[in-house]
Amino acid sequence: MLEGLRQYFRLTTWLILLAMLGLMIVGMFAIRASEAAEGDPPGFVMRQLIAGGVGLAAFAAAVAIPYRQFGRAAYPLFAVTLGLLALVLFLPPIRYSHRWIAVGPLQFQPSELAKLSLILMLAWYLRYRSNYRRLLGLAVPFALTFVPMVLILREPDLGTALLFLPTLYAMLMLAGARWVHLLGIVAVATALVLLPVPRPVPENADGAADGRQALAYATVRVGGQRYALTAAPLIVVANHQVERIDGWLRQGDPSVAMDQGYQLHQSKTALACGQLAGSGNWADADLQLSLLPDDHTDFIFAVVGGQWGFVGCVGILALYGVIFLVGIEIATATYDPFGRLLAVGVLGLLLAQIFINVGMTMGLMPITGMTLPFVSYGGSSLVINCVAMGLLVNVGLRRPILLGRHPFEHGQKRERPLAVRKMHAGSRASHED
Amino acid sequence: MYKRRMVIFMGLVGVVFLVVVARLGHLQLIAGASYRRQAAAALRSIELLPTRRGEILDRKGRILALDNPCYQFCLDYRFLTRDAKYVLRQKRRIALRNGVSMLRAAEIYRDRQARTWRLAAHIGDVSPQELRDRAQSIIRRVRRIRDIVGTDVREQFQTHPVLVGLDEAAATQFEAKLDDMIGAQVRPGHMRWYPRGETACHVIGLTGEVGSEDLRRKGSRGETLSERLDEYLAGDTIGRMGIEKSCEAFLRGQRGYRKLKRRVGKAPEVLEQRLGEPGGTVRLAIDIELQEILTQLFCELTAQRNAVTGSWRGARPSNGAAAVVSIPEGDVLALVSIPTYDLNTYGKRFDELRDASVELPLLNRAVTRRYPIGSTAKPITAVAGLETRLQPPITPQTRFTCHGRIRVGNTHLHCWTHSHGMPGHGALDLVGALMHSCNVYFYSVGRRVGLEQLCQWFARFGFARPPVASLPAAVSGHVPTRRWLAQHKPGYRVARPFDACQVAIGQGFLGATPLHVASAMATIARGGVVVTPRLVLRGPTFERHQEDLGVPAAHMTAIQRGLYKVVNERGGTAYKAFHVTGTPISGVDVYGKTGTSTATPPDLNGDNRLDARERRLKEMSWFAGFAVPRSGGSVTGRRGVSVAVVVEYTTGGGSRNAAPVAREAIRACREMGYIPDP
Repeated sequence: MLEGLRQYFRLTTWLILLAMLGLMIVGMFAIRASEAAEGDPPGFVMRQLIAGGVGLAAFAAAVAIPYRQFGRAAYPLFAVTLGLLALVLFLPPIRYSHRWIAVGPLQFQPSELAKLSLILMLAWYLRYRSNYRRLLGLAVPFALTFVPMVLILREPDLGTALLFLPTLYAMLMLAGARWVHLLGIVAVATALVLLPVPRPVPENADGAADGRQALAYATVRVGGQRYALTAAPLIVVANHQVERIDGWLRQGDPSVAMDQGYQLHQSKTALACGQLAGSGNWADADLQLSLLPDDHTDFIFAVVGGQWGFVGCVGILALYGVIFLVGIEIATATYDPFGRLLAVGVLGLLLAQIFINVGMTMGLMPITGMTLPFVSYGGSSLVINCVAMGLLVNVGLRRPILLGRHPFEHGQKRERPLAVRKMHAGSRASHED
Repeated sequence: MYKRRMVIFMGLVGVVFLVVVARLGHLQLIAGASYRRQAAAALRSIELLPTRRGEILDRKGRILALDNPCYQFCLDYRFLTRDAKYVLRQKRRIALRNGVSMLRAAEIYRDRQARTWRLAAHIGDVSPQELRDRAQSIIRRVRRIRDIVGTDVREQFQTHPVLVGLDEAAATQFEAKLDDMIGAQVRPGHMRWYPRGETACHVIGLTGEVGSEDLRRKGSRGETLSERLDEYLAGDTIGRMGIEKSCEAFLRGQRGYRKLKRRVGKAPEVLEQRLGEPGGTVRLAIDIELQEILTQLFCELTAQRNAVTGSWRGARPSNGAAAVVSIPEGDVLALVSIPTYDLNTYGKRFDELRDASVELPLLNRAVTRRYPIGSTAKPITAVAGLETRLQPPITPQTRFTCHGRIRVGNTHLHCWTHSHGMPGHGALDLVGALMHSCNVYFYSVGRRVGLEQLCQWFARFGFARPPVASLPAAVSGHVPTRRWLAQHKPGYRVARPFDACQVAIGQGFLGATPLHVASAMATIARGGVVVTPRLVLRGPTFERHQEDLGVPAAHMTAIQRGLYKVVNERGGTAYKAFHVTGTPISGVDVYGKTGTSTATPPDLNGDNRLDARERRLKEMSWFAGFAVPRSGGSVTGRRGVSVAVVVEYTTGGGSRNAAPVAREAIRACREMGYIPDP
């Protein structure tokens, strides 16, 4: 069925490029709108324009060089990325976190590079294997993902770190890992994350502890000491993150909206006030926008929603939709396993970024620091996403003529001896789709 | 399988997009309008504009109470509520400024937090508990404003006065330490200031902070926003006593407010504003100079007397009260209650003042304490006797013979001569009876008039009403009619002639305040016209009772002549005080009546029983009268003053204790022009 679509996407390169450009342009208008709302001169938007130029150049480069070259460079690149991620932890903090490496006037986030190098590395690693069909075989890809994740969590940058798991999952799923393994890991991880852990509560708890208190499942008193049963991660994460989760879970509470949920509340308000076609006729629009922190970066979608309403938001989503349709076509049409995995990784990463970012501006997800690809202000993110699109197009342009069997057709009849099939007949339904 | 999974992936993308679009549709299309409304409301805020409480002046325009500029030590609301975001921001600022880690910054923050409270308590000289109470009150106030307005208010992001009334020195001390504290600020503000300190403290009264009790009591919720903002909020000032309380609504003024709209990068835009209205100025009838002189006189003369008699008070002044009322207007020129206290240090000394159970400095004796008025009741008994229809009637010429005692029911009642080892007064008419203050004469009148009729006349002289309407502490006198006795003294069996006889000489259950008595004297001077004294010349209007009792002029003249002889004829009970021990006042005719009444003794040592020493202390000394310019003819119609003085727990009676104070008070009135030249 998907091959049937192919004839409609002869201009895949152009479609992706146009969607990308469209998103970047909308993004620049939105960044300008957020600047104007605060009464600032165009500053961010100019820098974003420059970053866009760099991004297009990077896109062109990523298209021009055959993508297998990137594959060959995947391991060294991954090593370099890990080095940079380690290095950044020892550099002086910028805005309370170790996210940026400053080179002259430029600032660069190695975690952005890590997204790309992880995809390349995983695609290169997984391309001819089949050991990930076994549970133990999943250990290596997971381990390779966890290393940069942990380094990024140390920065700390929870949002970027959280992108790695969906990306890994998209690639493993398409590579053909067993559902029972993939879903089983999710189930076990969820259970572990939600596992109640008793935590002693001081009698005179201060404000930040109150957030944990509110999120506790229950409070028990044992021998004069109060214990709160709290989900395990809530004990280790920073206070502001507890507040964010608290603000997300208790969105309806007006007092929370003024406090822990302030940013989320402002974001939802800005977004909702756009109504159908934007806030052109609403006098307080700029004012509302000025109350939203981080509006030109993480909350750019709320700006789009506020400026151009439902129509604008759906428009942005439609542009992303174009990228996804074209990307899926590319991933389907290519027979090169590396190319496939690369395309799927790029799409998975994009999907995760869009959902987490858009979701957090609307209260579907807790707030994590994260950009909306091509739209948010931020040079590193823009350039890296351009490179990712370049790789996608690259895969689409270089479709090998495959003579051998189809890769990872693990479920195909001819692959297994009859006897084995019979033996597994009972269990097949459970782990095959 | 790859293709199948690709389809699943595509489905996943589709689901994500569907969820996002659905949520988007709900937020923007369905809830969008309501979000806009809420957002528009949240972008507007309200700011209260404080007003200035009105001044209190004396009759000549001298300031008795005003809002004086001072400094206030203020703390940020978010610091008081330990707002998490605020605290975090402060810690970050500390970290940034001092270049330390957040952990160390948190330590510094805690340190500064503790120091803030310590310094406030130290420099402001208040207890930590008081500071905590103050902080709670601020939090209550801001929450209430928020409730009223319904959105965020500026008060949530402002500092609020924790210590008020700081002088320059304290303000400088605080300012030097501001960097060591959190959310602290020194701001100029207003504080109630009483330039005269102790003088007329009981009349002027005090302000305090609105407490939760007041808020409950006044908790009626207005309809409109401006109405509700006019209501009292925790932390508002409210009159607690005296004129400050009775004229509260007039003095308070109306606070203003500003509806603001946030603007980007600029000061907020003012959408609507109502400027505050300063409170009105209240002008009192009191002459503060006369008040001061009278206070001093009272203290000096009673102290002298106490020193001479070896009183239980040593050489300290006695407690008591004095009232001076102008004739014919009924203006209260002076209203003294001893002991006094300084209004400006009341807050600091409150515990001490409240616990002084013998001295009772907070009690306004001139209008709140009901004394047995003794012989100063006799002119009123005389009016009752003359005006009650009896058969045969009592006329000014009717004589009763005093044998030193009189038999009433089963007991003998004595004339005052009895305890002095003197014989009775013999046959006396009204003038003589007043002049000699003969108890037997008035027992006889009382017995004939009867309790009910007698009480009715005391009530008509104003004893059943509070003596003045504009003092919240003013109480009505005790006028023991049968109904009153049934109500207030359940179980008391009225002994028919006995009670009437007691009331006739100002004893028994009859009780009245010094201002009642001064007013009654003014009534006699006016020839029987009752006028409720007034204390407020300009300000809110208070109800005044005005009534001509319809006593024939001949009767009034006889009573006035009796009162004249008390003071001015050899043998009159106050003659010595006005003509022998003291110099007469030139150009003034003084009319008066001494009184020596028996009251419940005080429990000096607070052991809840009366020991022998305490039991001897039961004498209240009175002098009540009036003074007009000297001229022939009728007293009625002449301008002047009436005076009542009571000195507590004395020896030697009214003529020795109270009359000299009254004499000098009259002299002061003469010198100040309240008694015109003849």
